[in-house]
Amino acid sequence: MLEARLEQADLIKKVVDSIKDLVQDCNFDCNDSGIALQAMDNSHVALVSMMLKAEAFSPYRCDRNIALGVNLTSLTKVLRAAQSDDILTLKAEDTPDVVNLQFETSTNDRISEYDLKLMDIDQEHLGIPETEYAAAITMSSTEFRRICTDLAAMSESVSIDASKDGIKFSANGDIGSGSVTLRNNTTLDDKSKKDNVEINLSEPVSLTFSLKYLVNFCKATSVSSTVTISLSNEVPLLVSYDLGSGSYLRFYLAPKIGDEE
Amino acid sequence: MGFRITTWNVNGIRNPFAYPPWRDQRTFQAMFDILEADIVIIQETKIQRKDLRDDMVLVPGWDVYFSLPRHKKGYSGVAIYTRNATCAPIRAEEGVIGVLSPPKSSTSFRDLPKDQQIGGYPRPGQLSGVVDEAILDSEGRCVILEFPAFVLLGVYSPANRDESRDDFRMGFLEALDVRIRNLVAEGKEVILTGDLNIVGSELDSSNVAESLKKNDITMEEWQSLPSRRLFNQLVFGATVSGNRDEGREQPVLWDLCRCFHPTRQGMNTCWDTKKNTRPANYGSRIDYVLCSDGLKSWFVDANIQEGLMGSDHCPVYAVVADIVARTSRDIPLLDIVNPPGMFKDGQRQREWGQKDLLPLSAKLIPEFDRRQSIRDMFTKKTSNGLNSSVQTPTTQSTTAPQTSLEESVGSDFSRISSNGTAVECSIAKKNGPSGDAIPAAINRSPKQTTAQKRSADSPGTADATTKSKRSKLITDNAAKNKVAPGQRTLQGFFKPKPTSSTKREEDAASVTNSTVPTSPAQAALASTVAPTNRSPAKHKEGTPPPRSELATPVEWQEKVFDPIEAKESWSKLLGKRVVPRCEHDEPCISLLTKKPGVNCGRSFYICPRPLGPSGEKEKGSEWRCGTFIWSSDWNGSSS
Repeated sequence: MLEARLEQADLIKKVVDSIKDLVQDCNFDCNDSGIALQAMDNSHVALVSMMLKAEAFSPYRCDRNIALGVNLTSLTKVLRAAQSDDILTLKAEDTPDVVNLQFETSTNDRISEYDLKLMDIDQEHLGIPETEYAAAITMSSTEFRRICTDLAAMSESVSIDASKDGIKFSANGDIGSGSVTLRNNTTLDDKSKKDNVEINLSEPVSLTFSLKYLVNFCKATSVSSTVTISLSNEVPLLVSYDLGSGSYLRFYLAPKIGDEE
Repeated sequence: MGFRITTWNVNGIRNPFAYPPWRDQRTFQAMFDILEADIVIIQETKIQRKDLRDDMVLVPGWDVYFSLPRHKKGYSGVAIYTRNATCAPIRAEEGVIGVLSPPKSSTSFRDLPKDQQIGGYPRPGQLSGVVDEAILDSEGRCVILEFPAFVLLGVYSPANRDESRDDFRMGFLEALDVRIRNLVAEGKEVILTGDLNIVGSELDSSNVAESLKKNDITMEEWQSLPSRRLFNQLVFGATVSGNRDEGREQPVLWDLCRCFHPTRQGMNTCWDTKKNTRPANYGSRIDYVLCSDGLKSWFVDANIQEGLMGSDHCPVYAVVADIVARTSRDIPLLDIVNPPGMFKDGQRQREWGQKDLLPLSAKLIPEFDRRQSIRDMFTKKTSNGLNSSVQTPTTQSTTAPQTSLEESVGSDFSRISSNGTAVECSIAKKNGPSGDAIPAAINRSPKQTTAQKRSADSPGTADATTKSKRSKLITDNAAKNKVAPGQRTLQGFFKPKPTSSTKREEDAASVTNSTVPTSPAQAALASTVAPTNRSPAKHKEGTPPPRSELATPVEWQEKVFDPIEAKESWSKLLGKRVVPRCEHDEPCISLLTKKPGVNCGRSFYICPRPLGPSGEKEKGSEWRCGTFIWSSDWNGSSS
């Protein structure tokens, strides 16, 4: 039996919105520690990993492991019926055919309830190893989105070079080339803290990625004001949005093979 | 087993997937395997560059070269797929003339250094120049691949549609003719494949007689139409009336299907879908595999595959022997359809690698270039029954480059898992009704369910309920497109409501007719006029409201909007029309007149059966009969 109450329906709305273009059907795996999701896109180039810890809910109850196989387009349709500040309650039986979603206004005067049919999804689960990344950049999520969309106008792919001079995003396309370089910029001033750029570098790294996917990841910009981008050679890029209290929305992207000769 | 070259105008690259046998797997790899082909030339891809998808570009074990139209979108388009295990071209070009340039370059093919050219480009003065060269090559109609043994042209020649395209059509064919003759003159062997949109002789079409009659020309004139004349001068053994044109003194190509089937009638490769002429085989042969003289002896078979559905054309193929005679000695074909050094004496010397990709290969389009699978970058956490049952990719083509190797493993996984699900479903269906399946399902622990859900090769009875529910979900979805259950039809609202409706109708009356006077007497007067003037449906029916109902105004007004009568008129408007029946007593089909003229846009009914082998409507036969009814002359209605 699953019962999870979320103060702000907004969070789930935004998370589902940001991944629904990447993944069509996926399992929400619920257990006593929270609700997790892992899915690859059709071309097996990108992977989404979401974790909503039990602490994000009040209360949270899940006695047994339950997999909720959901079509994300359908889920989006149901979530559209919720206001951002509605209280959302998810309910499901132990071997469910449907998941029940209840939206309650904060003033408690309107309650709407929806049952969404579930499906059996044979999904492969990848073990994502803990990785020490050679470079990690924490920055404003809107700034990251801007870089991706700006460079996507130039080329299909971007190369990200992290060195002691900073981090450089460069794109080389048919109409010309462009690049954006960011340097470490940390202030303690609370007001401008969200514009901080924090670079942790253990060794220089340079990799090339498809911008189409990065732009797609940036749909998650609204879930968090900051984003962390982590890179290492021979490892997929990690774009991580922190959702608070240990919860996260992460995207992994396989780099393009080799360099052009 | 031979080396097979197959050409097919698919009329939309995904079109065949709607038909068996292609629809089972819906992958190009499976399609090409069923075709048993080593080179597949596809015409009318009807796709834009931006709509190219992984499944059509990154086909495991295959490489592909596209030529897509520069301007017109979702039109024309040629693709050549080559099987990495058996062949690899050494040069690839787009366009007939060589004016286009390779990707990421501004030097056109014909201006490349000699050692990078395929050659045979039309020299100044060889083309009439009626249509600009750049335009001739802009419609995505030709891909040229060069192998050490021969040059292969995959062509979608313009159709003979209307006069506005005649110049383009002839310009294209002229350029094709010149290019082929130049290549042969340079000592290269040539294979021309594709939908040429030309009927060579009377034997190759069912409708020659009709076309002679329609255009009021003689057989000789038909034979001498410019495109046919050009084609017949190119092909060995074809009839050319009068003297041959200058520069076309000698034929250079063999029509392989005719070589193997010289007198076969009805060897049609294309039929009219709209008229449904395929069942009676009323069509024409316009798809060809042609080869130059030096290659003729290499071929061991050529035929059409008229039984394969999926397009308005059928596939056409030719098979080359495994060992072919070249200059002085016999040589394994594999040695000469791959880059030098890749095969020796029919044995592979080195693997096909990423660097063998030619610039025109679609795998190098930025979106698909240097693709890496994230699955392979993460080690798998659990190797459950399903995964471990799939062995390492030894069965897959050993020639694929690393990336496509990974892709092929990927597709193996998915194929097996989908097979697994299919098995499960059928088991579930069997178990569903049986009594003991359900208790078992109740007793299971949820953890077990999840595990079993994921493992495809141990479908226990416990799965039965879940699985059957899932299939139910699918049927529900399918039903969604129709009218949802519980949805009332509009007609339901016009059923008589004897008591409560009175007042509402009274209101309606005053709303619809603001001029109705308030006093009952005046109302009665106005109302006798009202029905005839205002409700055309009733007027048509010619049933004026009965006068006897004039007793009280209320009762009388009720009659004006008589619910039963209204319902009838509505159903007349909304009800399904009964279609007329033809001489076979089958319901007719309705078509729209497309031909310009007074009747353009009018719809009519004709017999639903396919057109007979004569190409005409037939009396008293199993094929289409002469029934013809203008829709406006037909009054059938269900009520």
